[in-house]
Amino acid sequence: MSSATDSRAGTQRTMVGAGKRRAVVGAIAAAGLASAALLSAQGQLALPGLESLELLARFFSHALRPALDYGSPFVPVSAPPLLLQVATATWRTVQLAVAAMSLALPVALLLGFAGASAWWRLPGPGGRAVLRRLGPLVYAPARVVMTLARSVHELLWALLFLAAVGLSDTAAVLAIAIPYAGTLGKVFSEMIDEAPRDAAVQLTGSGATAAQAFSVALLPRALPDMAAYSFYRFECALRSAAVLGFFGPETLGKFIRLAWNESLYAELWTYLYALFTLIALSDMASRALRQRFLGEAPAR
Amino acid sequence: MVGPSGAGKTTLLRSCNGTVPAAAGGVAINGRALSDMGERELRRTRSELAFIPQDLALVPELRVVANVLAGGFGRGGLLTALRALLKPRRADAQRAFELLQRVGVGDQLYKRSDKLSGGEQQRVAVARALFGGPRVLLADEPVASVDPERARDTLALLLELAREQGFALLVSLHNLKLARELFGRLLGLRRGRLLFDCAPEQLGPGELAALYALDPSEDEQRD
Repeated sequence: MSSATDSRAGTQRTMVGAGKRRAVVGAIAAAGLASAALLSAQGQLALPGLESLELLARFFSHALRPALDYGSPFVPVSAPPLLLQVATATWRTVQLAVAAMSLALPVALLLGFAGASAWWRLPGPGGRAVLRRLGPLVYAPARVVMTLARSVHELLWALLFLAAVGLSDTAAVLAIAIPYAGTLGKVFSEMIDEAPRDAAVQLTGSGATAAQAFSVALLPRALPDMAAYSFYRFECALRSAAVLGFFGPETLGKFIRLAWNESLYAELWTYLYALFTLIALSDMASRALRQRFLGEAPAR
Repeated sequence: MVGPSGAGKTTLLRSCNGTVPAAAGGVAINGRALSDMGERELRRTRSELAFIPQDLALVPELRVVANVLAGGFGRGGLLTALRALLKPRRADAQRAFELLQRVGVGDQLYKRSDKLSGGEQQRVAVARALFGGPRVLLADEPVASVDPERARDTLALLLELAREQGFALLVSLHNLKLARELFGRLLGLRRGRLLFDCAPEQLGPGELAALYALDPSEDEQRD
């Protein structure tokens, strides 16, 4: 009798599962059809014209032969050799990214701690009542500041600064640092709150204060993830710094734009490869550093 | 403390140090109810109650020494905790080493805790409990995940330490055979109630049958 009930319940469960799955797949398919209809209504799905195909062909035909020297006859005598120019632009990109991250990180750490709930919701004696009352007063403003900072993209910040004071290097650094502090802070706070709490609860059970449990049993568990995410954001900062070159700073983006404007595709590829190398190097460096200092397994 | 799964062994152990509030009745230590204690007093009391949870609850990213020193946080402030994390005092590290040696894993002092085997981690958890100099040690299923041979060794070690350092030992166990063999007093728990509290010699077949009998009303509930 009981096994019959069980099997019936089981069948019902799988039927519910299948129904849900069908609904999800159906919804995705409907969304795909809807966007296709929308795009074709605006004529976006029309095949690209011959002219733009030719442009693409010319662009990609230079991929395997990037320039090692200037191709244009109109280069001033005072201009540095192309490769030196590439190296300088790459270096400026790194400088901008490092400056932005070194501003964003400390602010993000502060915001991240303030915007986490673990430090005032953790059980355990030791000024708990004070923390409980103080916590929300710090937590809420921190979350608001982080949301405000990251809801405006770095390109928009750059445009704002451009309109207000012109995009100096300082302004470019700030344009990256502000939204990055917001994003890093938000993710830090969530990593701290999502760290497993078993050890923290165990410590408070044997007399540790909430502050002790937070700093010893919670933070170290979130730290490897926080470091990995910071390295990833540094990589994003490199790309943002390159792109902000479009607005003035002498990073890779500026020269990519100039080369594109003058249809110097070979030089364009040289700068693109420089950017690619930069990102690859930063990835390798981050992996090596994490292995060295956080003892992470090599295969990750 | 013996009894089938779901009897309330873990809940009882956790209510002993107040991490789970007692739903009925209360826990008193030296005549003082835990629920009457202020934060300061509760903290002092807890620092003398060591607890080893079933999952050990070590911080896997930390070195063994930091995990052991965490057992003594009840007597220090935030600074004590940060020192344990970054640069332990020589005397503390020495004591941690001696305790680890006592439980058989002295050479692991500076290893990352998650690099140790399950059995070694369990010994680290014992050393952490000892570091606070407890008057009571509560251990939740300390041998649930080790093979029978090691289970006997671990329990024998806990009993030996209890005698040597003079603390009371309260252990929850699944293995009735080991419990009868090694311990002088048995508590039988079933569905949140105490069935018996006696020496193993006084335990008759009736009590054991009642402890582990399949309850027909439970089976119906499960359906």
